[in-house]
Amino acid sequence: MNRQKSYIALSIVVLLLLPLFIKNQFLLHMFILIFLGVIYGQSWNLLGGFTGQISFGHALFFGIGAYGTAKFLTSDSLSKIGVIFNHQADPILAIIFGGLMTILVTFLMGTIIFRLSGPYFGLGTLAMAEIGLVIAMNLKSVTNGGEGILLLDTPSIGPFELMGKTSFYYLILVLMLLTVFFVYQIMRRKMGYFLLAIREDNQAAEAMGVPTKRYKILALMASAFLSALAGGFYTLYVGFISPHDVFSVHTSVEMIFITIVGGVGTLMGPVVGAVVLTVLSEVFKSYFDNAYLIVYGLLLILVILYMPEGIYGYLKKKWNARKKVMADADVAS
Amino acid sequence: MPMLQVKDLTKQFGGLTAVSKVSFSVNEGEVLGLIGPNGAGKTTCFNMIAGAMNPTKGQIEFEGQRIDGLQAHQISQKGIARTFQIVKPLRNLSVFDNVMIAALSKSKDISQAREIAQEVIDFTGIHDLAKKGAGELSIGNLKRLEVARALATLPRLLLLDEPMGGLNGKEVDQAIELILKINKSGKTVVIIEHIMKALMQVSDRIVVLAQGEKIAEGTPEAISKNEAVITAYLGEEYHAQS
Amino acid sequence: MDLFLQSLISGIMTGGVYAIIALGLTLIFGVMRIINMAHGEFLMIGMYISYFSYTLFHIDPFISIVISAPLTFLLGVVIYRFVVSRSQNEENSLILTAGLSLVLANTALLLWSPDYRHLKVPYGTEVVKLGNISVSLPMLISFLITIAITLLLYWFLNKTDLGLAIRASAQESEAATVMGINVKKIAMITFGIGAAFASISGSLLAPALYAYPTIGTLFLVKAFVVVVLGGMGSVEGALIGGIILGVTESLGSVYISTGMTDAFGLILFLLILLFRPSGLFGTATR
Ligand SMILES: Nc1ncnc2c1ncn2[C@@H]1O[C@H](COP(=O)(O)OP(=O)(O)OP(=O)(O)O)[C@@H](O)[C@H]1O
Ligand SMILES: [Mg+2]
Repeated sequence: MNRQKSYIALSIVVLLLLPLFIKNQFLLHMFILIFLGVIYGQSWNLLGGFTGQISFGHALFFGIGAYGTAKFLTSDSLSKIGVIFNHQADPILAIIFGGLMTILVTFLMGTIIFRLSGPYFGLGTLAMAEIGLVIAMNLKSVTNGGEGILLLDTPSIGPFELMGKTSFYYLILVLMLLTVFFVYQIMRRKMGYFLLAIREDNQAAEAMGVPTKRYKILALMASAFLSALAGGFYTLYVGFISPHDVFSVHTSVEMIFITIVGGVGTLMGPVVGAVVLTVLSEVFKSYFDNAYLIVYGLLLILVILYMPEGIYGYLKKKWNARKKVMADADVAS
Repeated sequence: MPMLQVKDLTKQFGGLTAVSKVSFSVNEGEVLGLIGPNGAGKTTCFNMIAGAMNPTKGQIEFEGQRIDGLQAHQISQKGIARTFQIVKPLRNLSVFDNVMIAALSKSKDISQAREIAQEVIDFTGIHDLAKKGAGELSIGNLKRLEVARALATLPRLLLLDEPMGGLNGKEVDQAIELILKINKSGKTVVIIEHIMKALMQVSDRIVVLAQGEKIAEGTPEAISKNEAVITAYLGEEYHAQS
Repeated sequence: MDLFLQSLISGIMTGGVYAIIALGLTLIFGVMRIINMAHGEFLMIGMYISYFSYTLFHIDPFISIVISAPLTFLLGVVIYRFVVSRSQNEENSLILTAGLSLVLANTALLLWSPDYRHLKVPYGTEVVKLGNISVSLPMLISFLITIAITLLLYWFLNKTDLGLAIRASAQESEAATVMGINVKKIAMITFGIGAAFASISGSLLAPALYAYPTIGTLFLVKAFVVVVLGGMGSVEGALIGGIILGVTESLGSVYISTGMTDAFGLILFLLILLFRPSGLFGTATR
């Protein structure tokens, strides 16, 4: 156990020091994408993997987070709130604002969407995200329609300007670590066990005294909040958002893929998934341009068919089996 | 005043009346047997009492309070636990975690839930299985897990739906022993069971349903001689062979 | 009034094509309980087959159905046999077909580039006058084909052994097994038929719409709306649902705005999913 802790501490230190040694911008960009991918996966996994509610609509939360952040930074009235704490609109507050908007939406949505279960839940969430897209396209007064929103000023956190890959690296690193810690904390508490019970058998969970609906809504809110953080970061990093960028089915699907490929229902799965898929897609992007998604899709299919527990789950199983064999050998000798 | 009182309970599924105006009561401390041929409406009664389904008509009172229409988890909080005829283990979790989660809804934190779980596991004698995945258990052990999980919610009233279905002779004897032990520890029990000999042994009173209606009620001796009951079971394969 | 009739009729005609897309989806769902997320890609493939048949061999798009349907049927059968049938449960097959969708769409992207391609038939802009109402000729043809295909499907499902077997397994796969029907083979054939239906609608749409690799998603969502409207797994429901969606869209785009019509369709979809999961006309609960 302690050894595990020291490994984790060591990796965090390495990640913190990394930008001191990496000057290659592309490599830094890769790391940023990986960390973002980890948040994608953790977010989806909390609801889809641990709670068993397979959503095809997480782009909705990503999108609301992205737009919430952009609005906060660009609208005069909202950004004043930020200015109280800072000389200009604060990006951290903006991201939190996006997250709170998402929580509000999911709170309202949660009371009805959980009438659905199984594949119907997937369809329902897909429809909700599409509705989000249509609204973003048409509610021009708020979203600027299909033209999207461009961030003109360089946001800065206190004295630190968010400029250059290194500053974004640290921002997303912190967000990612917080995300993993957050999910870890949920899963080791009462709530985590309740979510697992809901995933395994809703009716049994109810009979065991678990208020399943309330916990599903809580899981949805927490999961959506994490997606919104990712969306908020995306806004800052890219500096421009449009409905089709952030509300696209593609985003929802990517979250699912990272989780499934890495290992659904495990804390480390999305981490592994984000690393594997990001690296693979960046490599293949240089050969196939946009069509790199073929590799994405193929990998997903192979994983579902041949290692349904995901890459991390598979390796863990192998590792445990080996340890057992070695322990048995020890006893024998 | 009886602990549980069911009045004119009725459940319709579309055109089918699965339970029709059934009334009975359960006294604190007793074991009440609920029997009837297949499809008589026994499980449906449990579903309504436990809050898994709302009654179409009728009332359910527990310890003087109306509980019909409450959700299943609220009923669990009130102190009623049920087991499922078709077992519902949390397959990918360990036996211990299955029991522990059941204890969680009544405990302030995980460590308290662990203590309760450990006690229940010792009480029900599934010690050796605690670390196993619930998905790997035999049907006999799954039935015991159902009971253990129900007990872990610290109920005062326990609804057991065919806890002996699919068990072999030795396991049935163990189950009888366990049920008597649970009853002795102060819990009230309602049990649905097709194995007559076992049911006669554990029940203080028996209620008989057939085609959704209550056709008889009384002591085990009286029920075994009751004409209406014997007729209801005629034509049906008689389950009392064991 | 004429405007109303005009848009009503064009709505019904578009609705016919929607119905064909949805028929494939609903058949697959009925028999296998699989929601095929890759359904739209078969439509896309149909569109490209028609496009290339026309530009390379001068085969009329409506005639190219004879090529696109059997080809996609085979593709569907192969994909089902080697991929879809191996998934372990409902949720997995949902995600699996989503992966498949990505693979198919991006293979198209790789092969045919993201360019929008327009199949221009010489009679593309011709209209037929029915009293005061004018209907575009390609649309009329495609509607007639829609009717023919629907009748054909109806005959197939009700009068042939294979069709009856498909219906039996859609209703009750256990009963079908007892009746000695090879459920696996039926599933494979149904998946093929579903794929073929999607591609037929793609061919029907080819003269009217631009073809591009990711067009499938758009129609997947439409097909979902239709299927949920009519009730998952119901053939008649898909027809009625298709017409309802077509008419709603057509009237909506005339009397409200096009963008918002999409939202109405989706909201309707969501409401039905939430409150009438068996469809507008269904009785069974899920
Ligand atoms: N959810 C449901 N929907 C429709 N009909 C149901 C439902 N649950 C039960 N039924 C029907 O209600 C009737 C009573 O069923 P129930 O399960 O209560 O019988 P039972 O007495 O427990 O039988 P068994 O001894 O076989 O367990 C049966 O005809 C059954 O088919
Ligand atoms: Mg029963």
